[in-house]
Amino acid sequence: MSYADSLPQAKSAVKQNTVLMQRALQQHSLMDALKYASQLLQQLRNPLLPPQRQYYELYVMVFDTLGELTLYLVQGHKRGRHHLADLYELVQYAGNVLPRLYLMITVGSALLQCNDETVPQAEILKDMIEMCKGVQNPTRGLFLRYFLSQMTKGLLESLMDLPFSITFLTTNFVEMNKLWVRLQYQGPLKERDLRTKERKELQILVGSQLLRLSQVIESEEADQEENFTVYCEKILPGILEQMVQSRDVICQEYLFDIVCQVFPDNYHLETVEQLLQATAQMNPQVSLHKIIATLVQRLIDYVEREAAPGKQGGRSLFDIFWQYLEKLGDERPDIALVEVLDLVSNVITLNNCCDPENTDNLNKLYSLLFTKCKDFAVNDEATEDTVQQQQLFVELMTFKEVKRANLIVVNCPKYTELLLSIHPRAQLQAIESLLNLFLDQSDDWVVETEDQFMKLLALCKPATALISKEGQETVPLVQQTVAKWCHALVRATTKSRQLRPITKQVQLLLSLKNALHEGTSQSVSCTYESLITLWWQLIKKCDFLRSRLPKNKSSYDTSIKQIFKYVSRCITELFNVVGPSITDRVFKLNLQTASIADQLSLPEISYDFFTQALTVFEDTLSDSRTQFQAIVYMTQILQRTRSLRTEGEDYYDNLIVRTTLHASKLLKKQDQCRAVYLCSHLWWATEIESLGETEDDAETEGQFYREGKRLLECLQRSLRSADSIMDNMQSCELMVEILNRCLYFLIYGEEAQTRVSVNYVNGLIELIKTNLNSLHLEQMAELKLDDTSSTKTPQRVLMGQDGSVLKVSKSNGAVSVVLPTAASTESVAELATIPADHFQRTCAYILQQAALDDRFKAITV
Amino acid sequence: MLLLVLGDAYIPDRATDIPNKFKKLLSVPGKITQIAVLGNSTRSVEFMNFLQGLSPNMTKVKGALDEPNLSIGENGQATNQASESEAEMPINSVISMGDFKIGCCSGYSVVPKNDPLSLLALARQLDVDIMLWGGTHNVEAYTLSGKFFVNPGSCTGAFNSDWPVVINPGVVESEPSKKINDEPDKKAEEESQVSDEKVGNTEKTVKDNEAESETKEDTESVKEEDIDIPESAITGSNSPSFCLLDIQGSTCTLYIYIYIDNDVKVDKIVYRKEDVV
Amino acid sequence: MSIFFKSPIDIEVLLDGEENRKHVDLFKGGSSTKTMKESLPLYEDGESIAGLVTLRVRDGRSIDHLGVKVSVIGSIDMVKTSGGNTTSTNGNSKLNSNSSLYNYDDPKKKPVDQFLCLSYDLCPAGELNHSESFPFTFKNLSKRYESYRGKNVDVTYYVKVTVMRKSTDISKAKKFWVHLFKDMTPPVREPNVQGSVTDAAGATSQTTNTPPSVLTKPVRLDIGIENCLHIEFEYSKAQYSLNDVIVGRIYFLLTRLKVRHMELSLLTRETSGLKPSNFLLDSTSIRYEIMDGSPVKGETIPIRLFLSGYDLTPNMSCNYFNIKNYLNLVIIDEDGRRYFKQSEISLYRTK
Repeated sequence: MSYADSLPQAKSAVKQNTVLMQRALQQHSLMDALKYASQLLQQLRNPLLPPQRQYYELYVMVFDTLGELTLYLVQGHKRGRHHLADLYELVQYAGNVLPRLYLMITVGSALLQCNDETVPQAEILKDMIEMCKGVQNPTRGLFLRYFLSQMTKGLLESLMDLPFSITFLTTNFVEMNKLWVRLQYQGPLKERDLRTKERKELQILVGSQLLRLSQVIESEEADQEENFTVYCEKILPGILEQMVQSRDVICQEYLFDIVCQVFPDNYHLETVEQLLQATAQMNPQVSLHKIIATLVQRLIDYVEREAAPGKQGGRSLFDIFWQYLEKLGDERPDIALVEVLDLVSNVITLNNCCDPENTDNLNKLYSLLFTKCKDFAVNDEATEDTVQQQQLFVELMTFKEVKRANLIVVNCPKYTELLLSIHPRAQLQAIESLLNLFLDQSDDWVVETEDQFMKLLALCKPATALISKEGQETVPLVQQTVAKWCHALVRATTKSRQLRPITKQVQLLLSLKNALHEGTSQSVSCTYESLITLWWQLIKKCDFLRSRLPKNKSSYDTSIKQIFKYVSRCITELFNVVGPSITDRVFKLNLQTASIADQLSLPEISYDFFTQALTVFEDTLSDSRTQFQAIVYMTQILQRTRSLRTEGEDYYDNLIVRTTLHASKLLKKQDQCRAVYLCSHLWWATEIESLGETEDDAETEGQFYREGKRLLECLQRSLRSADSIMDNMQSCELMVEILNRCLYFLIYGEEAQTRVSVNYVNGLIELIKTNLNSLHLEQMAELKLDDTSSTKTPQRVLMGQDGSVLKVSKSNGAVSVVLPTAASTESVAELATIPADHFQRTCAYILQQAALDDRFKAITV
Repeated sequence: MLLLVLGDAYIPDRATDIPNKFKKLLSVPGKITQIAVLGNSTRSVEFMNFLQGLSPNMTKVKGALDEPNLSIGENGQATNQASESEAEMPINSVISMGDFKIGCCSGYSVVPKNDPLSLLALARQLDVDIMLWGGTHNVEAYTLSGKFFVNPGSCTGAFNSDWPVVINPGVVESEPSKKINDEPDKKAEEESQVSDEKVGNTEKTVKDNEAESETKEDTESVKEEDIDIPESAITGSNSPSFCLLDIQGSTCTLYIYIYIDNDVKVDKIVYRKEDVV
Repeated sequence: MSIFFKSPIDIEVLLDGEENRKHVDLFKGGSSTKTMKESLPLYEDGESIAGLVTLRVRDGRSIDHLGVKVSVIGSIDMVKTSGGNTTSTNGNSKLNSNSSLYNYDDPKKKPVDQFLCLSYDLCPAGELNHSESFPFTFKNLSKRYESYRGKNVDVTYYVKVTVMRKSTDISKAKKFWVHLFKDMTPPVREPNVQGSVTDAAGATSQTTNTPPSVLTKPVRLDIGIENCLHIEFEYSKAQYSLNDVIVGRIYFLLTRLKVRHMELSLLTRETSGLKPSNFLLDSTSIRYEIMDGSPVKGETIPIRLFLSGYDLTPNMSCNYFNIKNYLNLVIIDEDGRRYFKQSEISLYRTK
């Protein structure tokens, strides 16, 4: 009798014999039934079936069939049809060992089910398990013993005492484990991987034995303490011994995991040292971090569920794990950093669960990693870190809650040290995510003391210092994050009463400045503006507090003046560190600070910043476009100052004259023209809403600075520039722009004040008309040359504030802009419409306005 | 068609981000046809990426502190390279949408700053119906001479170095159609009777503020650290805000979003081109 | 002969109480007749054999005879007597002269020794003209050998009635079977788990049930192939009753073989013929797989083999032949090579 060639054949053989067996049983022909059972069992001898799928499938069929047989055997025995003790001997005549043992177990377990007092039950159980040794083939042996375990399930618990059951199950487990380990070495060498796969598929059979053990121990109604003692003294040492002795990686990893999973977690708490001890003896290839992770998770489950203190025999879990880590460090220097990392991060998780406030523990762990990193020289650029390792570091170094992050950074000095020592890429990633956490949850972030502030500040140091080492592409993002983070950091300090006072804030910002100053020029260029904004805000705070606490006015006055000095220094440093590329910004920062000083009625300080701005303009602003825009910006800001004229010295006059002078000296005539006509506003102050000013008040009090004569001079000067431009189109357009300025002043004030008269406007209109005519002639001439050009303008052409040409598509969409510096490819014909159209619109406006204002009726369009 | 208008984000130098509720509100892909960025918002790569994700059509105009090179900052960057980058960011820009021509400027090149007549002149120069401008950190909208003027304010409520914005807390709840006769020029008043509307900035004097605060501090024992300094006193800016223009043919519906007390309040104003005679 | 003409007289031999006596079922000798069974009454040593002979005359005819004789015969029959010669008749006049001796089972087997031949006359010479019956008795008949039916050798017993005539004698034989029991108390059988290896230390304790004469120490053997295999095996004893159980174990000290399986076989060896040219015939009585797969160093494989279910032959020995039993431990490796170790055991019959 042999086995079939394939699974389908084997299955059909089993089915066929099952049917025959069932028929024999119906006819109470037991001998035949046993014969068929033995025949179908032959199929399980088949060595060709892959264990997981096919063999298992077959096993399940056989199991079902033998289950029916068992049922019959028990009933037959009870009715006296046969004696199972005889059958137990009878089936042993089977010539092949595997069918013989299946039958023995079937009959034996049936006999046990009858619960016959006269039967030596323990002996039968012992005999069955002992005889199973006859099957040494791993797959067949595993299934056989699994069968034994299935068939005796429940019987052990009900018939035997605890020690016996445990011995029985432990023995079976030990044997199964041996077979399972041995499976690895079956077959040819080249099939090792296949074996490994098969083993993983079969591992559950071995694991089931541990599950049975846990069931037995938990089903036992006896004293819980006694059960636990049994576990500690018998079960666990047995399992661990097997695990250690096997020297097999898969076995050790799997069994440890299963032990952690199937036995109650309170047991693990009590035996944690035994468990850890065992791991230290394992095969060096075992991934300790993985199995420790399971253990730690179980411990955490327990501690969380029971709200237990996480102590074992008076020692904290942390201490136990710490000792373990230290021991590993000594004995197993070979463990890869990535595994150490994982181990440590597990212990951190454990500590966070048991004793979250204990940052000393965490500090120890960070310290350990720090040392490890040094040993492995992770900071060495040459060592290629694995992505996984970097990822682990990032995970380890980042947090989910800002409060936690704050706590760790503040209380674990080694944390920051570690952060500084990890691989730059991971470092960058960790810092970025850390800074973003602080930003995202800034509402919950409080910085209590200066010391904390300094420790937190150390975080951004690597980010600012890192830049020069890393690629150019990614770094600015970190810089920007740091720049943002500075805001959040300072905000977090204002939530603390201790750090809130202005004097403290000044100190903190100075520390911040020092820290940022250490960065690279790129970093400074990005972060210093945040710093300057923070100073500005501090000035505003002082101002506000000054209004609320008049008794301290003088001290606030002093602070404000001092802070302006810090701002000045920051702007200077910014320029010094970054260099010429930042000139324009430095110019504008000076102007903005000047404006703020003016708002606080500090004319001297304001003047100082204005002059600094002018110095920058004169010394370093060279690009003509930038110069033009700078003058416009300066004009805008100066126009809104209020304090500069109030002192004895006329700072204002000084500044606006200088500005106008610069405007008139701009390189390009167009720029000159536009800048100068804008400068006219410097002699025509307008209301500022925040000050509650209105035109009416100004008139009555003469509060606004208005100098019509100079205003007109500017317009005239500007007109001269426009007139002298050779390009007819440009010239015309500028004149139309000046006309519009004139209209502005015409609306705003009486001629007596503005000196802009209707006559002047009429004269200007005449001039424009003349010029437009000549421009039209020029345009016509060109059209003759190229007749098609008039038809190929589906878009309108306009001119922007700075003389750039705007082409507006008629269809939906934005414009394309041609800047004045770019070489103009447009023909005169195309551009000639700009001033003409603009003039037309202006004329329409004059007519519109004439309906409201009689003076406009005097304008001849 | 939706036009998103925002500006003066000042990330990262003056603000960390726009409010999360703005982000959630805006993060509906495919809704927004066009974005107009009115200056001082381009330094943050992250923020620009966020906007880019909302719509690929983005018009940026140059604000006072826009220097696009800085964020990609290489140390010795050549100046001509700088001007090349600037070429991408004009001072003015015009968008055609529906029946409207919409002009954009950051506001820093307008002298006097924020001056309606200057803005009107600019609108005339650019031949637009709607003028968008920024730089004031204060959300505003009004019509003048038949043109519609919209300032979206600062989308982050960033620090404002200019004179502080005067904020009337009730401003958002005020009727959008409420007429405010604070035209700078009395002679233009007649015109504003019917159609001129102004939102976002009503009068409230600094003196009033001071008077209020003085009443609170009569106890001598008040300590510095016990005083809460309102955010607006520090930033001089209005609350974070932005605008959406829904343009359908000759009708433009303006939605103003303001972030107040962790909440977003929305105002609506309708502007029609037919209004112009 | 009887095919050509019918015997004029019919002889019937009936043994006393034959119906109720225990019988032994046998296959008839000769390979072609394997399926034919015969059942013979069983006797043991010293037991009397008695019966009744009935002579029936056909068709009322009368027959003259020279006397009627009854004999009890035990004989050893063989096909070949020497391993070298294929023709058994060659020069063995003694066997040929005994032409009257006849093997009823296998005509090829010729008697070589009649170790038992007792006879007496049932009636004197005369005439038979009607059926007549004669009782006979061989009192307390001693039987030296067990009945045996082997390949080359048989040990047969029969009662033979001969009607002597002037012409051909008419005779009839009645076969019976003999078991010899050793006088000892068989080991007490515990139900089911007898000889479980868990108490294999008790291998010796089991022998306490057997008399001192057969008390043997456990068989221990230490065998191996250098650097390849080293096993130690142990059977509880060397002598077993046919109802006994062989209990033992195999301990693997070293194994570098890839073992497919291991089996135990019981070999019965029939050695016959006249020395020095012995004629050996082995037959495997039991094949019993005891291990599936390849064990590792340190494994102990249990052995338990119940003998009572098999039809075994106890050890026997006489001048002409002997029967010996051997236990064979066979290891078959994955390439089909067989490694075995034979050890002799002694089987005996007990009641």
